[in-house]
Amino acid sequence: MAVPIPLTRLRRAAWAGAVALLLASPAMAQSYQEAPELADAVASGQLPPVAERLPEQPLVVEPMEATGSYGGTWRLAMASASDIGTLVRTIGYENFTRWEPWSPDDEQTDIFPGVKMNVAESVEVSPDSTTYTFHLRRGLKWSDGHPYTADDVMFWYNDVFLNEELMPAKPSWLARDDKPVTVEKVDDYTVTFTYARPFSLLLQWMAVPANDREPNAPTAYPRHYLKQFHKDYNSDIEAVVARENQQNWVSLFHQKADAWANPDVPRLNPWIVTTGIGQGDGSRVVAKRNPYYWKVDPDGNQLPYMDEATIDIVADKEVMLLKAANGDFDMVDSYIGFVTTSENKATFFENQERGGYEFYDVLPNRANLMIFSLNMTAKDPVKREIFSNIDFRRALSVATNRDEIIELVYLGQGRPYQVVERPESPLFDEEMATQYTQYDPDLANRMLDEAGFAERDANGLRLGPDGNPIRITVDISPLRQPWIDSAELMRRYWREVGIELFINTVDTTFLNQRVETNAHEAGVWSASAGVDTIIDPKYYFPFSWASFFAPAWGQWYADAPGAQEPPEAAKRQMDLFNQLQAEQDPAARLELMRQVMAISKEQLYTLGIVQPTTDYGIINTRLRNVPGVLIASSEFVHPGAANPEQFFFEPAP
Amino acid sequence: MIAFIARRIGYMIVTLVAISIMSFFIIQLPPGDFVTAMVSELNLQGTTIDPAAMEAMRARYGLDDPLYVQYLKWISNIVLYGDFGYSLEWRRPVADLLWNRLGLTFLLAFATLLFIWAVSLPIGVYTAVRRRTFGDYLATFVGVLGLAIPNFLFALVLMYVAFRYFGQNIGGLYSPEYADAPWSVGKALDLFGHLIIPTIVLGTSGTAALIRILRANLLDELDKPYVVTARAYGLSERRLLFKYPVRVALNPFVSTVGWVLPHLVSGATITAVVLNLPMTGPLLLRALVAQDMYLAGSFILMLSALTVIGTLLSDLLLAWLDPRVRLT
Repeated sequence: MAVPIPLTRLRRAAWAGAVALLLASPAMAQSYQEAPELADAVASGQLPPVAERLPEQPLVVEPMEATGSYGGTWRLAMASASDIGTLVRTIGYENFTRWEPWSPDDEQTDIFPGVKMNVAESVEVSPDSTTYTFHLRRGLKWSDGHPYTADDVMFWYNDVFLNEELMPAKPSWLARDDKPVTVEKVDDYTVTFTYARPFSLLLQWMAVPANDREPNAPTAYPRHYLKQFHKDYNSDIEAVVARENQQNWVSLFHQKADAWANPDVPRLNPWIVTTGIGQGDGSRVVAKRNPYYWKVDPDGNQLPYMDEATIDIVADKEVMLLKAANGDFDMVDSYIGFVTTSENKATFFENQERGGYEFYDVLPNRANLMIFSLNMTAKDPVKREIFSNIDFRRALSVATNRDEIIELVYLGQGRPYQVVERPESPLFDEEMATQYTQYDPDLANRMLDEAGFAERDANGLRLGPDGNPIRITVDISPLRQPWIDSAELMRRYWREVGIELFINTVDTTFLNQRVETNAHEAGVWSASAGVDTIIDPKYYFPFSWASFFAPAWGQWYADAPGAQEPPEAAKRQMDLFNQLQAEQDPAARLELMRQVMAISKEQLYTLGIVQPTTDYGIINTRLRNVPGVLIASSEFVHPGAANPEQFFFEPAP
Repeated sequence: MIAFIARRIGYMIVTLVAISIMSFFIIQLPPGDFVTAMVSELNLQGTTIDPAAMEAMRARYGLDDPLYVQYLKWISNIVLYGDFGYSLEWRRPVADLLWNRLGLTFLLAFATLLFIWAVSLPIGVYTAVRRRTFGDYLATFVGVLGLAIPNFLFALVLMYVAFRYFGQNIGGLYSPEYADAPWSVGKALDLFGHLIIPTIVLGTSGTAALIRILRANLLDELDKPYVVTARAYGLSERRLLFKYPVRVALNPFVSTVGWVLPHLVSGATITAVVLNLPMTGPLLLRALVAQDMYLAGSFILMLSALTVIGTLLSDLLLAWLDPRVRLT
């Protein structure tokens, strides 16, 4: 007996009526309209009429505020050729499922944002959460007009996902107990995903964007086009590799399947790339309207409203700032363009008039901007012993003057919290946020004395168990200046309680390499919150090598090389998290995550310095249907979750 | 002459081989590789990658081969097939990326060269002829100022001025309305307008040196007996000046022509990054940061090749210009 998943949760009161109807009555027996720019192509017979291009039941998207008008170019910016995330989040967010748009009046009861169906029309989940049956939309077409069917899903599964050469590594969410998920075709519009062990988060995982050039998703591999570049389908593949100047068939296939580099590959996105990364003069990506896009507004207007999107590749932050202040982009914030920092706010404020933009709030979804982690699995056994002493960590926390750091480095913006979820999250715990955050050097001294570090040398430095003064070297990436400035202050605070801190600035690449090989003593990074916490809970327990406070324990959980067995508390967290992944009931999931958090709280693995209050973004005053407050994170797709296909420009007066 | 050129080409090949080996290995010196660099970027966005996936990528890109194997693969493809390898980050053949941007770089190099010459030649001659006058000091002061101000700072200031007072759109080589348009008079003018700032920024730093060199050389020449003789014959002062002394003093102009392009690609990198110009410099910088070694290696190799070819050309030019230079 299958349990249907409710596809929508009621949003604002104003929408309630519409939402309830939305799925009950498919938008049938009505006429559709299309963008004026397509009219010529239809008239000349290059394109079939709009009704034939849409699926039998197009997905109806409720506009945020008003029905839009067609036209305009959405001007955006990305930071480098590798900044795929920006493209995915803005013009490429079309998966089987997607996140519900979020608004501040939504009561957050679940750790996850709501999920709704997208490319897949509906789903049934077996009661034990091992089998998911997806129903695809009949008549849904790729951007070249070719039908999208179960065969495309099977092509992804059999020929891409299972192909050891193309995808040697399986993403963790598509495997349980090292056994990859089984995907089967039932008929042309039905596929099943079956797991060896219960896994209740597939729909959520499917809503997470692939910030990667190899999306590895069932919606990204058009079989009819990609067959010719696949070894198993094309016996003459070597000739194609040579003709295309590629190294081997694997790089050829990935290059051809890459929607951001290859304009020829059909897609399901609202805008289709016409100038890819590195084409033309390599300074921008251009994407034009997809005439086969499968969504409409309630009046039957085919989406998207905007004709095209341009994404400039701007490497230099100052240039990005000047261009943004000049009004060259329609949307810039902490996830698009990355220049809306507190120090730039005045510049943006001054140029509002001429730039033609206004401000909006972004809930940054960051748990903490600066996390100081002492490596409890450090190579040096003496350091390991000192850092594993929880009283030592607590004392350092109390020896840190967070208020002063926030005042001097973060311009007074932020809360002096440990690493904790944000207040709007059901996982927020005030005690966890504020424990050991008071600034009290005397108390810190007493704690260190009692923790067994009472001996000092002639310079007043405390001695470790080996009789040497305690010196901590912290690796910091110069990527964010506030990290270095804050660490300089911390060096002073800690010196007062007899601990010496050395700041070692290392390039980000090198920092990650050091952490991955467990070579660092201490490190600094920032943390996301909200849905990121469930997808990647690395700040709350040793989840992977990227848990800076104990990479070797993280490797143990991830089953990777260089693993060391973690202590009981961490193992208990891993068990709880595994249970959570198999749990279907949101309330029970929340409870399990609370238990994981409770252990993090008592362990105080890391020292958090500051949780940001809100960020801001700037937006073209004529751009409509954009939510007034956006939540931004890597996993909760911003602004993709707010349905950019229904953004539109108010015609100039 | 032929023997001289042949010998020089032989030296050039040896030089390039040495450069290619050095550049390839220097690129490999920083810790980590392309995959670690990529994972770092993803980490910034909060995305982590499975260690298994990283290993798989390394295998695919051939990053787990020993260094010399990687080098031999790369260099033999260049020599045998003219294939400069494959950019890991852009996922395109390096050649595609190179040629796209070299054109613009040449254009800017040429514009800058003209600017430098147009400014420094008259000033250099003037300061030599009217030495120790107010004009000499003023021109020298301005020239040295151009040398002293860091390029990127100058670029930022000019950009800010353009942004604040002229409302010009910033950076890049075209305004948005022309970016994807076909060539037209409007587009050419737009390009010209955008070239002004980079040309001034890059040009001012080069003028001071040439002014001083020209002035010193000319002062040497002006006291030579042949000048005194010519003057005694009653040759007009202008004719006398330009017939021989200036021609001889032009030597440094010609002998540095070969360095202009490499200087622009490497020296102008920061300026190009700041001004967001689609030139070679930013691409090379990015390739180094991302440890995209085939792109970076091929770039450095190309630049070195251009430099040695440029040097040969400037030597031939010198022989033609200055009768005292002999090709042996």
